[in-house]
Amino acid sequence: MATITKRMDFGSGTANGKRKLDWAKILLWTMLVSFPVTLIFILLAPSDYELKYSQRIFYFHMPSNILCLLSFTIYFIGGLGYWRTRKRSWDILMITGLELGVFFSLIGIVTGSIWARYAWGTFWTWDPRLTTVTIMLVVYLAGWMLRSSVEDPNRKAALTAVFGIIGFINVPLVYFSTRFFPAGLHPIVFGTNDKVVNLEGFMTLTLVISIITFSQFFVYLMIQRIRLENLRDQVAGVRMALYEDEDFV
Amino acid sequence: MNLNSILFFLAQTTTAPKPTSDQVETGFVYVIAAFIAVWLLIAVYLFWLQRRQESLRQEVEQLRQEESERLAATPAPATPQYTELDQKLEVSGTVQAPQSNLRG
Amino acid sequence: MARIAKPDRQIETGATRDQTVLKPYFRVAWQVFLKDIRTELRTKEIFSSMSVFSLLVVMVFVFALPGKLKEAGDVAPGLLWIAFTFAGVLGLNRSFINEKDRGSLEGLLLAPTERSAIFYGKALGNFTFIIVVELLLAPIFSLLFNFSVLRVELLPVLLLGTIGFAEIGTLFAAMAVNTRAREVLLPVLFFPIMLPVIIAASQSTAAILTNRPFEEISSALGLMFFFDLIFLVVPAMLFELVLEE
Repeated sequence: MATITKRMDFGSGTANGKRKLDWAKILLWTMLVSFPVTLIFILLAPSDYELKYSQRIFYFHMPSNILCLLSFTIYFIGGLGYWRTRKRSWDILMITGLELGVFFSLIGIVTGSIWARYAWGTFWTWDPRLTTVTIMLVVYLAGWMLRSSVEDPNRKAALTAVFGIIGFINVPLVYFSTRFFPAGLHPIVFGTNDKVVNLEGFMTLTLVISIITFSQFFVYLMIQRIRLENLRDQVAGVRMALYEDEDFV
Repeated sequence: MNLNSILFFLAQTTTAPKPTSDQVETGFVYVIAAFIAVWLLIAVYLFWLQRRQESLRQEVEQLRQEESERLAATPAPATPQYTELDQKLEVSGTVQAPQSNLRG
Repeated sequence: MARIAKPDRQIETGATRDQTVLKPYFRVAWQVFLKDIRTELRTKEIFSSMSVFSLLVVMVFVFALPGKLKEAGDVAPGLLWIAFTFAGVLGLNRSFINEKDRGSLEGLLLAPTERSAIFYGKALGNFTFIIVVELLLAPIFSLLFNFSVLRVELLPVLLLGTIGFAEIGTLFAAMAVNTRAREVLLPVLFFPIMLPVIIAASQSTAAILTNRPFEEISSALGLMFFFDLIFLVVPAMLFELVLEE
C-alpha cells in the first residue's frame, strides 16, 4: 500500500518528506457519496409537464455548461496572470482551463443535442446560444492547435496567454446570447426577467446538488491536470540535470 | 438509423427489457442515452489523462535510472554533482543500486 | 532580444514632456505604416496576390454555383464576405512572414518606443491593403454576378468589418509567424474569432442590399463596433508578449 500511495503522490509532491493533504483522493471519496445521491435526486425529481422525463437531462446539461464557461474564465485569468508575471504556474492554470473547458463544452453539447432530439425534434438547430457555443468551442480548439504548434516553452505560454485573453470575448457572448437575442429557444435560468423559467423547489434543490457534484468532479480533474503538467516539468528538469554537460535542449 | 432504433437495438442485445413506447414518449430513453454519453466522455477523458500521467511517470523513472547508472559509472566525487537538483525535484530519495539500462 | 537605449531627440530640442512621450510613439507607428506602403508600392507583392486570389475565388463561386441563380441577393452578401476574408488572410499572412524572412523583424523591434506602436502601424497598413482590394473587388463581383453590390450605405459595414479584420489579423499574423505551421495556422486562428464579425457583416450587407429597415441591422453593426473597439485596445497591450524572444 505504501508503495502505491508513494507512486500516486509523485506528481503532487511531498515537500521535504512531509505528507501533504491529497485533495484529489479526498474528492474521490466524497464523489463516491455525492454521485449516487445526485442520481437519486435526479430520479426522484418531479417530471416537467411539457418535457416529461426528458427534462432530467437538464440536471447534467446545465452544470457542465456552467463549468465550461468557468474553465474558460480560468484560462482567461491565467492568461492575464501570465501577461503580468510570466510565471510558469499561470501557464499551468491556462492549459488546465483550456482543456477542461473543451471537455465540459463537449459534454454540454452532446447532452444538449440528445435532449433537443426529444424536445425540438432535431439534434441541432442554429439558435443564438448554439451558434455562439459552437463558435466558442471552435475558437478554443484553434487555441489548442496553436499551443501544440509551438516548440519553445516560453513562447508557447506567451501565445497561449494572448489567445486566451483574445478568445475570452466569446464567453460573455455565449452567456448573454439568450438575453441579447430573445428569439432563441434557450430559457434564462438565472435572473428576474419575466422570460425566466421558474423551477419548482425540489427541482432547484436537485439542480444545486447536481452543480455541487459536478464542481467536485471539476476540481478533481483540475488537480489531476495540474499534476500532469507538474510531471512534465519534472521530466524536463531531470532531463536538464542529466544532460547538463552535453549539448542537449 | 435514428437514435431510437439504435437504442432499441442496444436494448435487444442485452437481457434488459425493451423500452416501452411510453418510455420513449416521455423521453426516458433520451435521459439514459445522455447519461451513457456523459459517462463515456468522462471515461475517455480520465483514461487519456491517466495514460499521459503514466507515460510521464515512466519517463521520470527511466531518467532516474539513467542518472544513477552514470553516477555509478563515473568515479563519484565527494559531493554528488546533482544533489541540489535532486532534492528539489525529489528524483531520488536514496542512492539507488545501478540497474540495467531500459533503453538497451 | 537586447534593447537599446531610447534616443530622446526631443529633450535636446527642448520639447515638453508630453511630446517626448507621445511624439515618438505616433511617429514610429506612422513610419511603420509608410514603410509598409513604400515596400508594397515597390514590390506590389501583397496587393497583386490578394487581388488575383480574390478574383479567382469569385470566379470559382460563379462557376461552382448553378448557372441561373433565382435570387443572387440571397447568396451574394455571403460570397462577397467569403472572398474578402480569404483575400484578407492571404495579405495578413505576408505582412509578418515577409519581415521575418528578410530578417527585418528584429530591426523593427528596435524601434525606440513601445511595441504597440509597431502594432498600430502594421494594422493600419494591413487595413489599407485589405480595403483597397475590397473596393476593387466589389465592382468586379457585381459584374460577374450580374448583381450590383455597389451601394454607399455599404461603406460603414465594409469599414467596420475590415477594421476588425486588420486588428485581429495583425495580432494573429505576428503570433503565427513564430510557430511551426505558420501559413496554415493563421486562418485556423483567424476564422473562428472573426466568425461573429463575418456573420454580422454579411447579415447587414444582405439587409442593406434588399432595402430592409435600419433597425434590423443596428444590433449587427453594434456588435461589429463593439468588437472593433475591444480589439483596438487589447491586442496592442498584448503585442509585447507576442514578440518576446
